[in-house]
Formats: sequence, C-alpha cells, structure tokens
Amino acid sequence: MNIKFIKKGDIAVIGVIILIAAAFMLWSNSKSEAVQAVITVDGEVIETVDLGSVKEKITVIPATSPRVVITAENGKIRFESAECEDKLCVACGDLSKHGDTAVCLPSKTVITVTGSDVDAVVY
Amino acid sequence: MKKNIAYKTALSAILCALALSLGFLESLIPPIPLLPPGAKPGLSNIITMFAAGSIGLAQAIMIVVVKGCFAFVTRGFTAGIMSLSGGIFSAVVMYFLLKYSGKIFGLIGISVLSALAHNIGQLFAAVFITGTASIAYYAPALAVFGIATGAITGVIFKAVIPALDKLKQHFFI
Repeated sequence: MNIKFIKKGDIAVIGVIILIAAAFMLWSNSKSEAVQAVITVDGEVIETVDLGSVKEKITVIPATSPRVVITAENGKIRFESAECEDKLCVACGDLSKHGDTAVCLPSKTVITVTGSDVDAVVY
Repeated sequence: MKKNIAYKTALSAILCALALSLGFLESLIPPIPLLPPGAKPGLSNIITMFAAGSIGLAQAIMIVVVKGCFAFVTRGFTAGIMSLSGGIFSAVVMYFLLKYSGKIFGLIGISVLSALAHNIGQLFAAVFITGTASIAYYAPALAVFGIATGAITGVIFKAVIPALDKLKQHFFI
C-alpha cells in the first residue's frame, strides 16, 4: 500500500465532520426548555413522561423481552435495570436534556428526551 | 491460479483469527466515562483495512462476516446484527477509498472515514431494529468518537503494515 500517512484532505474532512457534529449538538441544545421523555418500544410510543412535573418516582416497565425497568424522578429519566447481557442502556445513566437518548437494542426500547412537542419521534 | 486462491484463503483465515483476538482484547478495556456507552476503539478494523487494501474486497468482507458470526454466537442476535451492519459497510467503504482516493486522503483520513462508515451502518441497523429514528441523536457523539478511534487505528495500522506485509509474503501473495 503506497498511500501516504496523512494528507490535506484528511484534515479537511475531519474539520468538516467536527463542524457538522458541533452544529448538530448546538442545535439540539438550543431547543425548548420544557422537556418530556418519550418511551418507544419497537417504534411505538408506549409512554410519555413530562419530566418537568415529575415529583415522585415513576416506574415504567414495558412488556418487552428482555425486561427493562425505567424510572423517572426529579426531571431525570433512566434505565434503572435491564435483563439483557451488556446493559448499555443502564450505562447511559440519567437523561434530562433535549436530545438525550438511551437505547436498549435487545428489547427495542428507546427513551428520547424531546421538547414539549413530540418532534423527534418518527413512526 | 487455483494455488493463489488457496493462499489467499489461508491468509484470510489467519487475519480472521487476528481480528477476533483484537476484538477480544478491546473487550477487556473498561468503559470510558463521557463516551457513548458501547463505543469501542475498533482495533480489529486494522485487520479489515489490511485485507481490503492488500488482498481484496471479498477477503475483507469475509473477515467482517466471520466477526459478525462470532458476535452472533458469543453475544447474541443484536450484537451480531450490529457487528455485521457496521463491518460490511465499513469494509466496502475502506476498499473503495484505499483503491481510488489515495490522491485525496492519507491513511488517517481513510481510517477515520471507515470508522464513520462503521458508525453509520450501525446507526441504520439500530434505527431498523428499534423502529425509532431518534437514535440519530447519537450521531454527533459517535462521529467525534469515530474521528478519535479512526485516527488511532490509522496510526497503529501504519505501524503494523510491515509486520502484516511480512506475514503476507509467507503466502506468496
């Protein structure tokens, strides 16, 4: 392979990708303050939690296999536990800002924090 | 030449073993805070890249398919699908970039773009599995992480080319 180690094109493409990613992050952070969490299983919305008004702990257990337990408290929502192998969804921790997303692939469960209007869920 | 095919197959098998052991090696790295959970450095892509660059597309795809099957057997259905979707897409992108974009990109750029292709393939698979497009919110974090890991694998790739070339010579390719 006689390809050079690094060329100008590399730096250009890396710069462009970082700019796009930064713009996307700024855009999703600038969305409305009122946040709600949308829980979908297999593409269907099963529960919408208004994170702003959650005072007492709410627990949602969707009818999925493997089983996942979702809890919401003090404006935050998280996968409390999961019966899958890698538990990446639990590792995502608390979600509270617009655009925060946690996914449990084995159970097809997704939690997304959106603005007050449900604009980020596609059926 | 039939003999040539046999050599290529034998070499690909050794590369598969290398890719699988690198995959195991990186599974020992503890999760790094602040990064998207499940994000991995993708060290085995070094091997895929070598196969794509100096043997052929078929061999590179064979390596990622073996990797995918291994993930399927050891870590379950979802892991297998994720490994396959990312692996195949990035192997194809790698092959064409290595073949045609040497004038524009260096190894670092090609490695970064292949890492991004891996992420894109996996994102599409994830959207397909969950039926939820909001997973795209992961994209920016994955892209930034992909640049870092792509650059790292590019550097390691450059460093191990002589060793892999030596291995290749044993197979008269």
